[in-house]
Order: sequence, then structure tokens, then C-alpha cells
Amino acid sequence: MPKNLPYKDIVIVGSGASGGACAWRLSTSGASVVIIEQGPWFDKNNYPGDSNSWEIHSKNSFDFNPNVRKLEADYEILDKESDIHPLMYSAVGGSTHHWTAHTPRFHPSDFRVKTLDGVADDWPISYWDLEKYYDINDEMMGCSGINGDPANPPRSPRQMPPLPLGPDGERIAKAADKLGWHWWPSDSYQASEDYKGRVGWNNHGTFASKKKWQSIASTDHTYIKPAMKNGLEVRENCAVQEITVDNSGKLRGVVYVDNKGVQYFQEAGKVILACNGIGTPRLLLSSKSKAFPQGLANSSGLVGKNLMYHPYASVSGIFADKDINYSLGPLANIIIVQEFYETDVSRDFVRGYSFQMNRSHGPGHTSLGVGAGGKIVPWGKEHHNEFKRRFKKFLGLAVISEDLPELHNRVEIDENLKDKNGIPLPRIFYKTSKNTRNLLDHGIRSAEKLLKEAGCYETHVIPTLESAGWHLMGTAKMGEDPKNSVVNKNCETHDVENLYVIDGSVFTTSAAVNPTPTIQAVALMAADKILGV
Amino acid sequence: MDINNNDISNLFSFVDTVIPSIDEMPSASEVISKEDLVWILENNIKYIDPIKDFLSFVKKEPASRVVGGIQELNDDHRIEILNLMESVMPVQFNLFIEVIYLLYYSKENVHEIIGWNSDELSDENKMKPFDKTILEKVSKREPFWKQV
Ligand SMILES: Cc1cc2nc3c(=O)[nH]c(=O)nc-3n(C[C@H](O)[C@H](O)[C@H](O)COP(=O)(O)OP(=O)(O)OC[C@H]3O[C@@H](n4cnc5c(N)ncnc54)[C@H](O)[C@@H]3O)c2cc1C
Repeated sequence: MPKNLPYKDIVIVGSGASGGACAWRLSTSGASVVIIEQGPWFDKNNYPGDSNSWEIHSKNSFDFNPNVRKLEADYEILDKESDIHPLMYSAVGGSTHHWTAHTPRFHPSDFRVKTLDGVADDWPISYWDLEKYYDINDEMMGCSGINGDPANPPRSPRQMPPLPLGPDGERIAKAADKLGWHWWPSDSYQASEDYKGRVGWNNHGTFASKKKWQSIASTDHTYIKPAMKNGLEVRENCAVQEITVDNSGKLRGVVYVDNKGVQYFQEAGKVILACNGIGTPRLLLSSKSKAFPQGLANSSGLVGKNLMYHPYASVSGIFADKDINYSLGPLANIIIVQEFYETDVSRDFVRGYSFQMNRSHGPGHTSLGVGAGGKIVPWGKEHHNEFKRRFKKFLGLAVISEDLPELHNRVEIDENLKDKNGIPLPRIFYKTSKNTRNLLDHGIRSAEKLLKEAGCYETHVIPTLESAGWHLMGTAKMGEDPKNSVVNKNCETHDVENLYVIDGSVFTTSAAVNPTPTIQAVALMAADKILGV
Repeated sequence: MDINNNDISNLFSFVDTVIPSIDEMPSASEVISKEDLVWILENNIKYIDPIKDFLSFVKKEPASRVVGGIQELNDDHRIEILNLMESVMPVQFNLFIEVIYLLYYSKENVHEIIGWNSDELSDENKMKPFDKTILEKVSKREPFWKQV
């Protein structure tokens, strides 16, 4: 029998990008709020960035893939039937400990794809509903960037100047200018100057630099610590096993287990799920009861369905110039190109894509084929020559595609395989669609054109980056109709009053940019709805 | 970890075939040690099984059974074995290569020769601050986001 704990007004499960933001907003209300997080606090001094063995860690204990990393807090993801491998991190701050912090916003059109293009569904909210929350989030996370981007609506002044473009960024910018294509310095939650206790990093040093990691916003610092000053309680190393309801289907609270194996029942007025696009459907599907035999909040059958990732294609070019060092600065927060963002009826796909510029890697990664289409530098006599040809000499473009929702792309749970906390493992099914394939192929051709214009003499292509499952969306869709969605426009589930989902699971569609500012804006908006603001 | 000293010596005997010395570049055995191999295997479990597979593959090769065993193989034999393994066990082979490459490229003396300097304070690692004159052309473009 779990130990009963005194009542709390609000329990938030998960402390990543969404959980942190929502907790901070709620903590200002005087309500009793507790976060339950399966991972530990993470000490930013432990980033292995400055050690010589950095690249060894990044392929092992610091690998982005939990199935490779296998840390205490990680759960295995059964992903053999998925074209793309999901990535995430479990700690106070969640995946914002591993993210790149490239932070574009969705476009107004992204919320209206059914109206505009006759596909998927419109969101029940608009860009303008979220605008205020994007601004609050930029302020809290700290955004480096510059206003005036013609591809996006005007926005409030950025908190810090853009990160330097570097010689490689300037090269891409000039090439885009020559082609008459859009480009703009990326908005980034990496601090270009010291910001609210966070160290600024103006790209002095390689992308592996420990300082770079410390200059990136993670929600443990940006939101959770300030919220704790308002009374937020954080229970680390505690995994929620089940959300419980009474026989009539009324929410009761959560059952969780700590890292000593002690089980607790936390009664709560409201429960907010922020476990990401895989963790949240996993928990809902695991929480079966008499009232909800197919899993909680699942009367539509849509919990776990419509998984969207943003499939990426990677195109890199090798440059011959002698004195360039394309390994300075962050890996990706450099330039965004949105020339091909909207639907063009003359193409063989709907919706569109962005390019995000990437730069060279460290020597270990270069030797293992990063930047060269995954082709490992040959072993034996040819090794050194080929290594020299590539090292610090390539820069790349990642094509980020809009991923449309499809029912067969989904998260299920395997009742027979459980993690150490007794929670069923998630099993992922995902196939890249024809529309996405055509879209990525178009993106690859455009990227090659831009890189050639920039002067590269050889390109390497990865048509679908298998290791790019960093954006997890769609698995508890937001909508007006309870038959066709899991949560309403306030992020409350249609089926269970006072149960909310606030992470990327609620995305109706995915847009063609990194999702986290939008995830956080939705989480802040949901907090205001809960507070009746 | 189930891999003994002799296994490590067998493994180590292949490293220079993977990264030989050419011009100013040292061979793998000049910069990494058997202790490094033990360290990486002990700390990163994902390598253990592939390395065991690698070793049993090598042991089964007829050339390894001649006098002196694996450690006495000549370079031609090693190349032959590695080529064969690369084609029949690519997954394990690539992880074996990953171990050697990552160790080799984590060494300071290699960094010096190839010019990898992670010191933030050094001049070559400074980037010019963002200069907005580069926006001249693109910022003149009319806004083109779709109004809805
Ligand atoms: C390598 C990498 C690079 C990325 N780069 C970018 C980028 O540049 N830009 C961008 O916009 N996005 C990026 N992302 C994505 C971004 O990190 C996520 O979109 C964001 O963190 C999602 O926030 P979240 O709150 O939904 O989930 P997460 O941040 O993943 O947090 C979920 C939390 O819930 C906890 N949890 C899960 N289940 C339970 C349970 N049962 N009990 C208790 N706790 C639980 C987890 O431990 C975790 O801490 C990147 C991600 C990765 C992995």
C-alpha cells in the first residue's frame, strides 16, 4: 500500500521545458504546487565539455539517446519499429539539459493548416493567443537574437544581441543573399551576454565548450529555482507510476515511487502532465481503471496516436579554404532559412520546411563520419589524409520538415516489459510519409544549391537523420471535439476534469521549426487558464 | 568486465593497423595505451559485447592460430582480418573502430598536431561579435509571412 501524503492543490509530473514554465507561473498564485520528477538535480559543472574525453562521454553517458546512455533515471524506449530514434533527458530541467536551444517561433499559418491546405486540423488557438506567452517565455529563458525578420511577424525586442555568425555563418548568409533567399540570425536561448545569473558565451571556443553548455537556458535555473522561492516543492528521483481516479472517474491524484522503492499516494486537486510526447501518453495509457479501461483520457482512442517528430535531412558541404575553423561556436544556433516554409501548389508536397545551419564537429565525431553523411573516415593508410580533408572544413544545413499527424505513427505501451519502477515501456511505431519524403527531397536539393553557392566542392547527404528524434509531439492532441482530440484549448483533458497535459503531446500539428518556445508558451497559457486569468 | 589482460593485448595489437603513423601523425599505439582501452571498456558498457565479438572473430581466423598467436600476426594478416570483419560484422566492427578513434582523438598531443584547441581564452578561438551590416539585403525584403 502506498503511503498517503497530505493534499496538494496541484501536482505537476515532469520538470522539463513545459513543467518548469507552468510551475513558475502557478507558483505565483499561492496554491500549493509540487513537481514530481523521475530524474535528479543536474549540476551544470558536470558537463564534460572541457575535458579531452568530451567526445567519449558524448557517445556514452552524455549520449542524447537514453537507450545508449542508460542512466539511472532513463527508461528504455522500444524504437525498432520507428524510422527515427526518440531522444530525451530525465532530470530536473528535463531535456533542456541536452538541447541546442535554437528557438524559432511557429508562424501564424502553422495553426491553420486545415483552412489553408486542407490537411490535418486547425489548432483551437492561434498564434495571437500565444504571442504574449512567447514574450514572457523569451524574457524568462533569455533570448539572443535580433528583430526585423521578414519571414515572421514582428516581435518584442530580444533580450540579448544575436550570437556571432562566424565565418561559416557569414558565408551561408552571403550565399543566401546571392540566391535572393531568406535567411536570418537564429533566435536562441543561449545567452550571448551574462543574463539573470547565467553565464554569457559569445562563442569563444569550440561548440563543446563547457561554458557554451552553461550559457544555454535550462528550466531548472530559469523557472524552477525562481518558483521555489515562491514555495514550489520539487521531489526529485520520484517516478509517477499511475494517475488515479475514483470509480466515478473523478481525479484523485498520483501514485509514485522514490529511488529507494518507497511508494506514495499524493492526493491532488489538479494533475498536470509534462512528461513529453512519449512520457505523457505512456503514463496515460498505463493508468487504466474501471472507469477508463483503455487508459486515462482516451475515449477518443487518440492517446499515443499522431506522433510527430520533424524528420530531418542533413546536407553538408566540404570547403577547400585553408584558414577556416568551422568548429567555433554552437553547433546549430546560427542561421535559419525560411524561403520554403509555406505550401506552394506547384510542388509535390504540402506545407514546407526550414533550414537550420550546422557547423563542424570535434575530431572524434569528424573521424566517425559526422558531416560526411555518416561515412566513417577510413581506417588504415588513408586515414590521416581523409581526416585532414574533412576536419573543421565542413558546414551543413539541416532540413526540418513539417511532419503531418498520421494515426499509424504512434506510442503504445508494452504491458509485458516494464522499467525498474514497474511502468510499462513505450513502444514506438513511426514511418516517414510520402509527403514528408517529397518535402525532404526538395529540401535536400535546395540545401545543395545553397552550399554550392557558398563555395563547397563536395556535398554529403543523409536523407533521413535516424538520430533526430528530439521533437516529440502530437500524442495527446488539442482540439474542440472530444471525439477527435484528447485535450481542449485550455489543455484540460476532455474526459477527466482537472487533468491537464501541457507538453508537446498537445500539438495539433508540428510546424517546421523547433518546438520548444511553443511548448513553453502553451504551458504558460495553460497555467493562466488554470488560475482563471 | 569479462575481458582479461590477454584479450586487451590482442585488441591492442590491432590499433596501429587501424591508425598507422604517417608523416607528422603518430600511430594509435604511440598515443593510446592498454590502460586507456581498459578504461573506456570499463566505463562504457555498450562496447563490451561488440569487443568480445571482435576478439572471438579474430581468434577463429586461421592466421591467428599459427605460432605466436594473434599478437604475432603480420600487418597483411591484420588488414585481411579487419577487412573480413568489416564486411561480415559491420555493427561490431564500427564500434571497435569507434573505441580506437575516440581514444586517439581525445589525446592532447593529437589535438596539438591537428589544431584542435578548446581553450576559450586563446586568440584563435575568439569570434567577431555579430555585425548587423550583414543584414543589409535581407532586412530590406518586404515581410512575407502568411497573414491568417
Ligand atoms: C539533443 C536535443 C536537442 C534539442 N534541441 C532543441 C532545440 O534546439 N530547440 C528546440 O526547440 N527544442 C530542442 N530539443 C527539444 C526540447 O528539448 C524539447 O522539446 C523539450 O525539452 C520538451 O519539453 P517537455 O517539457 O515536453 O519534456 P522534457 O523536457 O523531456 O521533460 C520531461 C520530464 O518529465 C520527466 N518524466 C517523464 N516521465 C515521468 C514520470 N513517469 N514520473 C516523473 N517524471 C517523469 C522526465 O524525467 C523529464 O525530466 C532538443 C532535444 C534534444 C534531446
